[in-house]
Amino acid sequence: MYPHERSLVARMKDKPFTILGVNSDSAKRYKTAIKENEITWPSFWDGGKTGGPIATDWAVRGWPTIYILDTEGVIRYKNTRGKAMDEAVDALMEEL
Amino acid sequence: MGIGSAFPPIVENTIQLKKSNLLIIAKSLHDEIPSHSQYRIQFDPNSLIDTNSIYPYKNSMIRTVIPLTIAMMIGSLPVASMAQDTSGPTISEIIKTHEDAVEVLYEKMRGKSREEQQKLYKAEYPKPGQAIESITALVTANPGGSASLDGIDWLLRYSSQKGLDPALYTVLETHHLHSEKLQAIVLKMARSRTPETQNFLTTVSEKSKIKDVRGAAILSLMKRIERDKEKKDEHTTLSKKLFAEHPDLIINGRNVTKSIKAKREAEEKLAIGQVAPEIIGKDVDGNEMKLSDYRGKIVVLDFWGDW
Repeated sequence: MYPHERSLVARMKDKPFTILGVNSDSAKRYKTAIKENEITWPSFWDGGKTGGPIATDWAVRGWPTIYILDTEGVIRYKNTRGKAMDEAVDALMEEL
Repeated sequence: MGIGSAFPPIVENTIQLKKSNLLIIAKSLHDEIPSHSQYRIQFDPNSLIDTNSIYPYKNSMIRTVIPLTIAMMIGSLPVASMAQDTSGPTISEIIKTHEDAVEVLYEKMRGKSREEQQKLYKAEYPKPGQAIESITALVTANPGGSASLDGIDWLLRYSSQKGLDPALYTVLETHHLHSEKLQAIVLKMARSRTPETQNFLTTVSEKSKIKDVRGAAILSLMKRIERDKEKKDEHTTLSKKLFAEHPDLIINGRNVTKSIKAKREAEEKLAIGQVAPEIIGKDVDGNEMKLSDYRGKIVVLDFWGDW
């Protein structure tokens, strides 16, 4: 998970792209996780539990849950992982 | 002096009983979740009481587990101590013997590594075959007794997708159609894919005199087809019936109809092609963040946790 995301972020450096997290860990665990896994992208912090307000609004019941949004904020892909995530981001990048 | 020595032994027993019930519930939840799903329930007899080890179900599960645990304890104590004048073991005795054996296994697993626990669990989980056979026979012999409902409830824990012995649906329909205890039983039937289950649930949803039992039967009929794309129309018909006839179906203290409605609305709002709903929140240090601040960028929105 983390290595793939790190490589995607590296590949999209200088492009209009970001990973934006919504994190459900305790504050302490979150801070350790970003340090240990070299997570450089921002995250909303959802109150330290899985039933936090953002996850509830987005009806998230499994973690991780992924949405890919285009530059207009439109939901374009859901729950694509790994290679499919790379391809989805590439396809959106081509549209620009 | 340790804290433990302050309790008389009877209290220790009570605590163990609770723990074993929790584990059994966790096990049945675990079995209910398809292996390909992202949901995970962790088993660890040492840490199960610690809510952090139950994820991501932790909030909803605790709400369910506590009342269930209490109900099971209240339900099992008087029955176990009641003398029965039959020669063989009673339904509650058979269940108790099996669950005691499960508890012995959990004791053995305590303190072991996760791999060892999984290995032990696979190798030594007591085979329920004999107990299933005996309970089925006892229920069939005395179908009208309330113990037969407890027996069927227990059988469903092990029947998973195969459903019950077809004769037991007749027992339920003939003797227990208007029992309030049928609700817990029909809810467990959501896992079964057999036509007998479907017929039975349909009958209950139409004929039981207890409204909340009818509602629970509709809910189970919906659950068993909710992932089947070919049965989308059937699912829609059922959900319309649920919304119309049971706008406030309460199960384990939760308004199920309302949460299904909310989930459906959320799904429509979060469909591909919709503008993502705004998120206004904070980072871990309390700095304000908005999703719309990232317009102009492709965003991989990742709901994550480090577990």
